[in-house]
Amino acid sequence: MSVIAHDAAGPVAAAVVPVRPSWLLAVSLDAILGVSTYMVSYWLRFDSERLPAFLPGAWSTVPLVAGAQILALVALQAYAPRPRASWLSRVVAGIVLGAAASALLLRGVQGISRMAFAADALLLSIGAVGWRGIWVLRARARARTVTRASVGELVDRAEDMTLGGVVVSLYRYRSLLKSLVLKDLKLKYRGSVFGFLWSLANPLLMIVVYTLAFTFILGVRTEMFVFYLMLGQLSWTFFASSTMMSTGSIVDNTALLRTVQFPRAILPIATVLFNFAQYLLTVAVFLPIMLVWYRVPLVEPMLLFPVVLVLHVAFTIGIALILATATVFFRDVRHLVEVALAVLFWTTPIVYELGRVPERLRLLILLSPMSPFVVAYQKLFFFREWPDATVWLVAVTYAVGAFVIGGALVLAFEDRFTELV
Amino acid sequence: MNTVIEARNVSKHFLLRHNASVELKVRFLGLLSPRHRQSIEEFWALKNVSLQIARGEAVGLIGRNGSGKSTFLKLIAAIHRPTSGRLLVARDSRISSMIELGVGFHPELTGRENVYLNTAIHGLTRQETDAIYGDIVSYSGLEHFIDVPIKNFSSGMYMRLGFAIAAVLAPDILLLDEIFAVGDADFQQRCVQTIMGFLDQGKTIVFVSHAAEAVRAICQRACVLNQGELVFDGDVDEGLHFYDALLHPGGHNQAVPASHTAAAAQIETQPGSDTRREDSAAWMFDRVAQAGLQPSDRVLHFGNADPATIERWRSFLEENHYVPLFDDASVFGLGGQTELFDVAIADSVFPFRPFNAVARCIASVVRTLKPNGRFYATWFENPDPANFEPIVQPNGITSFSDSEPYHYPFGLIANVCESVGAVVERVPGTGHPAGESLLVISPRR
Repeated sequence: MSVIAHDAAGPVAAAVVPVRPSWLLAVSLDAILGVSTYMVSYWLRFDSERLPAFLPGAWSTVPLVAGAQILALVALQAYAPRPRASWLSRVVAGIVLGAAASALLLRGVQGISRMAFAADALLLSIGAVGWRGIWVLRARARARTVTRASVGELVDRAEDMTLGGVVVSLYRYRSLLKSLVLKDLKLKYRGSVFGFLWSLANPLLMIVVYTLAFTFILGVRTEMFVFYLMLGQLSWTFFASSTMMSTGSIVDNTALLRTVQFPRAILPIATVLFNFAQYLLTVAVFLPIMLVWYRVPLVEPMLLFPVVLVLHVAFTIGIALILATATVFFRDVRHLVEVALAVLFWTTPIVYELGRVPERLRLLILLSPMSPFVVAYQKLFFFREWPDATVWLVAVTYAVGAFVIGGALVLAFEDRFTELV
Repeated sequence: MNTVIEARNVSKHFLLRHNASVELKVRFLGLLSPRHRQSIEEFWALKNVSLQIARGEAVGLIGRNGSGKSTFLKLIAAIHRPTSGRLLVARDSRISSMIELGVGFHPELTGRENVYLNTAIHGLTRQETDAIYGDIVSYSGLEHFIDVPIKNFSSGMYMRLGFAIAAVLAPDILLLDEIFAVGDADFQQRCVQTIMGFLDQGKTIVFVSHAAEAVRAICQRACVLNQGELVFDGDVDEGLHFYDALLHPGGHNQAVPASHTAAAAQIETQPGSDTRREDSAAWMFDRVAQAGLQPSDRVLHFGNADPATIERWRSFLEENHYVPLFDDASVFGLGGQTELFDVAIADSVFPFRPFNAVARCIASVVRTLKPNGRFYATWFENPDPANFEPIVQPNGITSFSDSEPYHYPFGLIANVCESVGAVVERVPGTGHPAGESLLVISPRR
């Protein structure tokens, strides 16, 4: 029976400003990362034999390159104690600018690889954004455990989202994940006479078309070309349809977001797993047929297939999380992805062999997002060899980097999704 | 006190983006031309709300549209996160929200598949769902249809399934948002029964509604929100009075009373704010009778009529030809009415409903009219569509474009009628003493 009186002061916007690392720590981490990614880029570029010839060049330029990058980061205020919302884009911009500037400065100097600059910028971006993502999430989690202690029997349901909490909640919602994947699978084949066969028809058709085009029209004579093509084409289809579908996975579920609370990351993950289920089915059909048809002997490297699969799925999930989050803020992402996929298909060694790419371009092709995974599949089944260390390095970096960055993005922004979709 | 929900100085702030666009193109244009630039306005949906709800309490959240009621509900459900302050809920309590029923249903899936999907969305495992699946089906009464894709369901069946899931989830805390606004009479009765059942089991209920009767029936405690602030917390009857006083203070932007005495004083200065509406009902009867009402006509009547006027309708018309619908839900749906009506009247509905409700009301009434039927409605005139200023009507009531009592431009209502296949006219010479005038809407022939 009380009427509440208010004091004049308005609400205090204690906005959740993530705690940023001190600039000293940030600079030194970035510097260490910068030096190591630059050296790794040289190793990726020249592999084993010619590396010693280029190493002196690399060592002598590394202070300049890493220094330029740090300078660019400072200039773009990436270390400011309270940077603006465009924090992460500033980090990436700084790294790219620094690499570009040092490439310009070192123009014409012998024994320097320009490809290595591009690779360095890419790897360093992944690393720098990745460690910042982990940092922010950890800081948020710690802030919450402090406040939680005082609360007792009551809990804040909006705050289940710590790094560990995510894994727990994903596990808790595994039956939702399963339901969503099964729902999509059921819906896809409901009412169609041939059902699952349609999923085989699409890659089959693509393989037929490319085989005709390459062997009969262009006259490429590669042994077992169909088998080679299939390995790349199937894994590419999985990646391409996952990323395309994931852009809409959050924005197209407005009604759900506005009425039910659940970890939002589930939506893009379910999309990827739905495509992954189809990928596994097609692989389970095509791979044995091909192995028998071409009388391919089974060799030990093939045991690594599950490892590559896991990396591939982790990478795809990471990209899907990034794209789904980005689409909430910019609807253009959908169209960008379509265009990008058309380009990426040709920068990935699917219809051609990585080994036939001109030597100086090889690193660029290897760094194309899907390449390490496609190349790994081809190494295992087509060449029946252990994949090179360079392939593993890029594959693991991409998988872990995409997964961490994607997860951090969703967690950092998911409480704003409901308001923005 | 065994607290299950506690709000500590909760504020929620939304950014209203004018000129908002999620397209990159427009953002780039914004750099160049101010016309495309996005301007951001802050909007505090809730300001420093502190509130404790104990186990087994049924609390009604009341307030006009945009006062932050639904936002508060969504904060409890953790769909939104408070901008500042903390909203705490008892550990391990299951919260079920009937904010929108049947969300997440997929039309191509069968009822059974949708039940499993929906419970999974609410965090249940398959085993848990197996255990309650039978209850959900029998509760919904859809045993025969459960394996049919729900695109073939009627909207009533859809609602029933959604409600059955929400009800059988056996929540510890139940959040209800205006659910009486949907479904037929039968469905609404079921809702009330279920909610009463929850109350008996000592569950906690937070209920958002405009319908005073529903709040009175369900809740023991009322919280009134006004422009995001909690202005009253206490007894239901007092709360409803307080809300009424807020709605009809005589002036639009009157400051919220800062103390109980001020509020009480205000209630006294507004004696029987319903007399105006009742008066309008009697006046409408006379008008409609003049316009040639026959005893054999079937009449649908909704609004706020006094018993005397209802009796006049009843005695004038043949038996069972008078269908009065006086609760809030009637505005949105006329479920259960199978016969068509000759005359429908809405007294004091248009000025007291937001425009989307008015549009729905027109659409559903036009559907239930005979081809030569008429629909009479009172309405505050706004002569100029561009005029958003309060207008003082002839009897001194001030009507608004954005709060009750509303004035809507004639053109706006004409557009709605047009789109549902009807025409609207002013009834000439019907200047009502209360300042309302009369519209007649008839299906286009």
